[in-house]
Amino acid sequence: MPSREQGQHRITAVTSALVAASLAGSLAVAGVAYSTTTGSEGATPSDEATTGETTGDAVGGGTETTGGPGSQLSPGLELSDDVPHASSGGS
Amino acid sequence: MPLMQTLPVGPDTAQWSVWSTTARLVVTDPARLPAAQAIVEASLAAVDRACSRFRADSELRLVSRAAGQPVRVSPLFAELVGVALEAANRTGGDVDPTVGSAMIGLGYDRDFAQLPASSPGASVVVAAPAWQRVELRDRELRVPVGVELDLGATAKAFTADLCARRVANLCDVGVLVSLGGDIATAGPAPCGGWRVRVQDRPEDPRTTVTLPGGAALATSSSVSRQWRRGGQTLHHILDPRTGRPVSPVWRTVSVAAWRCLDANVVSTAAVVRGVRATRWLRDVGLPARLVTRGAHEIITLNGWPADVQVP
Repeated sequence: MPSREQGQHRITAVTSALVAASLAGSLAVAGVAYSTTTGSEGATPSDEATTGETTGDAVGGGTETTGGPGSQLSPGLELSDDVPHASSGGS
Repeated sequence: MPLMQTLPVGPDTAQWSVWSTTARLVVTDPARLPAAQAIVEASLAAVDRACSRFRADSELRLVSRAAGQPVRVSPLFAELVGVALEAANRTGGDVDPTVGSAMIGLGYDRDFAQLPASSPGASVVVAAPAWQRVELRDRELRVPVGVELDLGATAKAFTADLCARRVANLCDVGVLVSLGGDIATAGPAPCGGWRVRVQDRPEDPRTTVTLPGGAALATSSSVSRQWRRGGQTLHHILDPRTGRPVSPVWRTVSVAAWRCLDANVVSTAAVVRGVRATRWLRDVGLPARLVTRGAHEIITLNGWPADVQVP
């Protein structure tokens, strides 16, 4: 198990990768668990607050991964004129 | 009647009301539907206990009562707050989980179904984007005094993702979970893909697209969840910098991604960004469909198929 400090560095690296991916034009991060780096104003990097990149599960149940090879690509959509399974309007 | 409720409910589908909207669950094997619904209902209940603004025993309210002191929260609530802060980070603060005080000031202080359609009270504008002052260390959360969390911009989509993954994993089935139109899928899709109608109001232009298994879709709207207060029409997507509903450049923005959370964060940020949205969306690269305020123009980006014009 990595130390807390190692874990924080790794999480910060994941966050940086996500930001880089966003800037590169992809927000699709399925398969990569999110992390959060926040801090109070004026915080130094070592003071940054982090939350783990893996999650506890208060409700129970199952391996929780999404995506897979190619999941960094956007999903392809096609038109259909068949009966829909669901609708998406404003929420 | 919400459009979702006009769709057929076959043996593979369950549909019920939750969070002042409609939950819809579709599975590829109808025999798995009861188990799948139990999983979804348990997940919804857990998220509600964690982050409802409208129940006194939620963790969100507990943190609010802590008056700036750190509180040890559940793993689920920590994750919900974490993804909300990450959304704020990724959108430059356009999607901010600290708009709770602004929502209350505008009168959205109870479950939307119980909100009066019109009230005479004056709005109190609270413009205080504060997500960078929220501290989350593992499961220890500190929210500054005077800051109220509202996870509405991320929690529903996060929950749709969570439910879809759990159903697919535990029931070994393809699944679509829709929470008020925030749609997540997991497992194998039915033949031809998951078909999703994209439309806000009955009079609005509509399209139906197919999603591959594992894909997600969300729509944010400046015409949904409206109410009147002090003679003004308000809606639920706020600009955190002003504390007021965003001036609607876009009627609706729909986005597809591999996580509903990503789709909804991007669609909400696009509504907030207004005229700056299209350039940003091109950079983001996710398929998107934008309907202008008067529904006179539809813009599709990044591979979203153009609407078919119905004569």
